[in-house]
Amino acid sequence: MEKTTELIVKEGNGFACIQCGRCTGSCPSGRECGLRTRRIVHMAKLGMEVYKCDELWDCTTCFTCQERCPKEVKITDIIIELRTLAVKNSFYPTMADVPKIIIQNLYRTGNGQPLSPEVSKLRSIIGLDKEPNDIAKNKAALADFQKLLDGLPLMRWGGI
Amino acid sequence: MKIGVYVCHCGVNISNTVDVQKVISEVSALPTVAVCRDYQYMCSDPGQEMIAKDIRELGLDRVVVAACSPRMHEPTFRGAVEAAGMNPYCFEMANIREQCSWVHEDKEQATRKAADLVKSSVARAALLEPLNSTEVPVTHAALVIGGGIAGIQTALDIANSGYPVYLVEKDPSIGGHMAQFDKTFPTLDCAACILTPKMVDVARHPNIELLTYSEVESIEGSVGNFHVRIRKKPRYVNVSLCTGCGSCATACRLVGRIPSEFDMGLGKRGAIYVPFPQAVPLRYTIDPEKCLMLKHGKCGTSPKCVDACDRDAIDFSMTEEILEVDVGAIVVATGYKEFDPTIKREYKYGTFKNVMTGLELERIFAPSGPTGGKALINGKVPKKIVFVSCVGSRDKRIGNPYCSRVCCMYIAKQAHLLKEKIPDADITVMYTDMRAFGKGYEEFYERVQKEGIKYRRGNAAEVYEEDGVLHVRAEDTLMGEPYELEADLVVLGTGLEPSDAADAIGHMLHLSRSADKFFLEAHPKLRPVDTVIDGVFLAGAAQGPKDIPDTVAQASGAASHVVNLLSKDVILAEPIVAEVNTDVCAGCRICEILCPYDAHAFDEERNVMTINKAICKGCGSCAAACPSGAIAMNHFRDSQIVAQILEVI
Repeated sequence: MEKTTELIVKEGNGFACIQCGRCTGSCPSGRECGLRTRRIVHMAKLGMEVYKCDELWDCTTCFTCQERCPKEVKITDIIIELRTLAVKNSFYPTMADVPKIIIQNLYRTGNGQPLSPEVSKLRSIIGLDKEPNDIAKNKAALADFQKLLDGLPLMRWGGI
Repeated sequence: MKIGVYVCHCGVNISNTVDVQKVISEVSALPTVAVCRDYQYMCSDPGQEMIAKDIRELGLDRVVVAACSPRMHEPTFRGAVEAAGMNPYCFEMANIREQCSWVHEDKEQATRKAADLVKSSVARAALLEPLNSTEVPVTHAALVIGGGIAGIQTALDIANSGYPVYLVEKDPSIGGHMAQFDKTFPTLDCAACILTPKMVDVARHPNIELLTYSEVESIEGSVGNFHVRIRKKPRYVNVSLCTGCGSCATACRLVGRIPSEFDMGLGKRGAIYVPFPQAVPLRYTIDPEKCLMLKHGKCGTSPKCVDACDRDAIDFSMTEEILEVDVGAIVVATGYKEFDPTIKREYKYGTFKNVMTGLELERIFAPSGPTGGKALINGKVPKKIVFVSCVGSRDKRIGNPYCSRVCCMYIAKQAHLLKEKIPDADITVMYTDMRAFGKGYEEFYERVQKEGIKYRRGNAAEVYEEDGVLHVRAEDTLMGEPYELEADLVVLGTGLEPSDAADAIGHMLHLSRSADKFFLEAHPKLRPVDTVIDGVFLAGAAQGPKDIPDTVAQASGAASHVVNLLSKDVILAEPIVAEVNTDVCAGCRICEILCPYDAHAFDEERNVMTINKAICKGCGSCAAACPSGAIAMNHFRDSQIVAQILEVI
């Protein structure tokens, strides 16, 4: 069953929020971009369609806000649930190039952050194989994996 | 058996959901019911008179009122039936408001339930037995535990009414936290100027026996007659010889080497000390944990304090004394302690010396404090100052969900005092919500903003250091923008927690705590100074965070309740207590362990249990647990409860 914004806030103890802003002040992403965790919780409490906000996708899920919240609001959990809600409603953020690339990577290599030439080099320096023994190396397994992903609404977002 | 039943409408509180006439017609049909009436407000004068008239004219044996909770009006109706000549324990109450009309919506079902509840009460009423209260004499003296402003005010008020008071304080001086403050909000009265006269009054009052550096060891007994053992810790200074001249303190080898508790560790004292210059009593005390003579039996060739004292007041052979006193009433004024912000690790308290608590800054301001009142933090005048509110308050994570009520205002006061001392200082207050609820508080908040203190909504998220400079990070929630400030001084607006002494005292007196760990009052609105233990009252921050005006008001309230009690020669003890049938009791002593009030005493000679009626609160735990059925609860006997249950099943 799809969770409503209200249920997400309720389960995440969001109605306890006193808007003290410790979450936003603690947020490492918020220093670099428009992510205002406090505002997300506020909008969610008011029943607004907060899952449509682009800033949801700026969260790195580091959990600092959740750890420090004096009211035990599960802020990061709420953000993750709101993202799920966005995807289920096929609402893909306008600035979602980064998630788009991650989805494309996932589909093509089986890994959201595939092996970069830099990492490959580092691996050989410490005596590891250039490529790890993962799904990208095994073409048959990758084909199976892609079959699993085919048809998921999420893939449309990745342009696949 | 003639039972009168009275069904209350409680305005529309009951009658909106319950069909009162239907209840009346069902109950009237019961064979034991002689009369059944309804009224708009049974608790009103005409309502009570209706009952009294029926008792007189119809000769009722029992009365049942179906209305609100017995916690609300049982005493009212007991009084009414007693005035009409009936034993008050022949009265029974059916709660058809809190337990019926207020919690149900379906009118038909609520009516059925109300009728059942009333019938059940009628069945019980038929089996009620008249009970008589016993008279207990009252000892005309009081004990006040805690010598802060709450205890001081309580003791003075009781003593001024003519009753003897024992005021017990664990520290060497009375004064409590208020003595540590510089100024008080919002009037900026000097705390010492308004407190010290009261402290001196306490010491001089003929009705007050001041027991400083003493702790309550045990309390036995009950309302009217408590027996208290008090441990007087040895000061190692004969207080009748000591004049408080201070020669000993200057002579002490450890002078200036021991962190002073009174100065929050920021100032230093010696092993022989007074906590502060205006201490009452102004008598020196030797710290047994630090004094070389007491710890090692040796202090150079001879203890310098002894050499310095002209009066030969120092006595290393002193031992503790136990004092036993009898009192009729007790006031608990154990106060609070400041929240220790070390566990809020993001604020780096304990890591950086220029991150300090409100109480620490208070000592910096004080003329008698470690800097002599100069605004110096680690020897430097701070120019960039950040205050952080709600540290240890409104915080579930560390277990303090409540608002500490004083921090918003003491931050405003301290910001004002800093601005006064350092006019070019840049002061920012980071706050969650501004709570300026008291008289003159909102005006003071406005005043400090006009003085140039910046208030930014949104609390500090973290403090970090970079290149020797502290940075405070927060979100300005009104702008929706995160920002950072450099700071020479970060003041944490630390909240209040119950004092450590509250554990032992609460245990001795069987006091309940509320979820916030402060002592629980008997009723949050109407009995804020009483506890559920008769004869034990609360004053000040022991009951919950409070500012000085509220503390003083509650202290006077507690004193008036004490005086009210002590003005009686005898009091009536509630007869709803447990009784042991000694013919049946097997002496297993299970009840003794269960009793939360220590009312049970085992008679070794007869191998049976006895219960002290004055202590028993009638909770019924023992009666329910007794394996041989030897204990009966008056007014809640098995037969009475069974009849009540049978009527509804």
